[in-house]
Amino acid sequence: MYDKALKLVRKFPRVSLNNISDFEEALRRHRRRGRGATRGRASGRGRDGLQHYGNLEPVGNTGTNTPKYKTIPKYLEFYKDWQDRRQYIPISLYRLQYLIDQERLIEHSTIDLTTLINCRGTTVDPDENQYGVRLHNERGLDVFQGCINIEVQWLDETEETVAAIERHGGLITTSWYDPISIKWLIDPLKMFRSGCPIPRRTLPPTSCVNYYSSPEKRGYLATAPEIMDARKRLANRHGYELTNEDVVFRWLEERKHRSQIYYGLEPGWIVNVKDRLILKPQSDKLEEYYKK
Amino acid sequence: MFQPLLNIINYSRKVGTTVKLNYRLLIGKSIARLSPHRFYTNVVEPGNSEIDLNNLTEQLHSVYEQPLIHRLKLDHPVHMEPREVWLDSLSQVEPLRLGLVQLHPEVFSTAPRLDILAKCAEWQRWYRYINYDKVPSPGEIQKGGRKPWPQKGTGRARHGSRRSVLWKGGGHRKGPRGPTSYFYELSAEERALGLRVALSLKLAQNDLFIVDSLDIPFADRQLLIDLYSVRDWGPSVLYVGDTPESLSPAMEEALYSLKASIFMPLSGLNVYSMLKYDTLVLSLDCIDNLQQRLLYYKYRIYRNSSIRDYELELINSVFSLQTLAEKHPSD
Repeated sequence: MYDKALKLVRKFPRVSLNNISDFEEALRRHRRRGRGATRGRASGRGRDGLQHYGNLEPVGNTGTNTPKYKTIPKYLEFYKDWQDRRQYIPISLYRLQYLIDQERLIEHSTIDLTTLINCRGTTVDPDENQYGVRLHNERGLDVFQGCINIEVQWLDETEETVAAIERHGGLITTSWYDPISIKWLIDPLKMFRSGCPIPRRTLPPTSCVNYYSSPEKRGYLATAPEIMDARKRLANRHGYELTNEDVVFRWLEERKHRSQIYYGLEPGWIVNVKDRLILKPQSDKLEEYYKK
Repeated sequence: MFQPLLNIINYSRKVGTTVKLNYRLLIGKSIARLSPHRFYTNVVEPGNSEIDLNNLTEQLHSVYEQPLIHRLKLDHPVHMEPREVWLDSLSQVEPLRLGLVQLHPEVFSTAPRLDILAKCAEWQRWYRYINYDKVPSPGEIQKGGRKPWPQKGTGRARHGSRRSVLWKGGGHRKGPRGPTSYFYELSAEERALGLRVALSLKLAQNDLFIVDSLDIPFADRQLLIDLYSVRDWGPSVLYVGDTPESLSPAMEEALYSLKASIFMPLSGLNVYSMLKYDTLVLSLDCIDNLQQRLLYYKYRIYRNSSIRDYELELINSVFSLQTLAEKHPSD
């Protein structure tokens, strides 16, 4: 892997004690504290003068008029509610292929956000308004050649990305997870330890219900026949043949239903890892609530 | 375990004499852990030898009908190929290529990180260095408690003690204070990486040779000198074996008289020595051990402390590549 560097080294003089050294940055002597005229006692205000004794005005102050940084309004359309906006962590097709090559993701298997985080492919932090992962094709369109069943939370540039995956017999779905569900997805063991029942996944907000119901975006609310049609249309448009349709149909039927967080586990169940038990709700009220 | 290829033949000494080597001088070199009885070699009559000196090469080839290939038993990443190196021998001056040795790519062809080498060499120099300089402060010097003369009236300068900084024979305020240690730790991972980088550079720069055993036909330094000139081995050579016993008595004697060549057991292998000595010669018995130990430090994982034991059991019992392959067979 480092062939090029080692080939170069072959031509250089013998590496010895007199021709090696650490990086410049490590050898640089940084300015140390408590030096200089004031010996660190002037609280950063220097020695004598207006800066030390006086009270300077803030930058931009214009005396009588309101300063420009107050009069000129922000471009609010761009900045409004920026801290409440949803974020999706980008992941490229190149990164997926890289993980498959390293055998951290296994081909022909179902890949979830949990799987991606377990193999350290991404990190998602719900406290930072991160609602999952979005797949883009900025790098790796030509390189991707894995057959996977992957579930992401958003798609950038739908057609080409989806075609790249389905060309090799794979399937992609987009699904909505609210912040609490994301927390349960990221670290299931930690949440099982809390003793709380698995929560219900909510429906997406009105602004993206259509997104998750459309078969073009392979939304999880779209039905299986719609998606199979969309696959055929895409295959015609991009000029490849659909293979592996039996397996893909099986995958479509095994998709999570709209309130399910984990494969094989229903909302309302309590998972006890220590005693290898699952506790299910018995009363009608609870069953009704969790099956809505 | 070393098994001598040939009997010890020393035709240049008198028959029947024993050669005694100076035990104390050898302590200064790196084979001090050997027991004293090894320093006595028995000289054998030339007539009694099993093998003729004249037809060495033919006889050696007949011993080995097939080439020896020492295969790599450890796993390596899929995208890296094992490096292959000649398996040589010290039994004759010309290179006798007995076979091949496969070397792990992550140990013998890592990136040439010269900064890591510099760090490791520096650490080796400094971590055990103690500076014993100490200069007394005025309070530590005997005398000097009493005021030498009254404050006023004598016409001389005012002083409080005879051993203050101002006086000849007085103390120092800013001098070195006592033994100073320059100890610091470099993590085991970094040191293991330094060893891997040094090995990779030795191999890349044609300074690494692997030898089936550290044994020479007779204890003569001229043999080694001729060997170095024919094979173009540097003036300084570092021999490494698995244990101190890997070095044969004949080799011991020959190395004793060669100042620039030393032997080291595998536990003594270090970056500083690999950079100091031009050529590195590894004995075959130490290769497996070396690679395994260096890779242990690369790949060891400190377990995620948040995962409990019973959870880890469940994960290991449920998750295996075999079960996944059964679930999703490839088409």
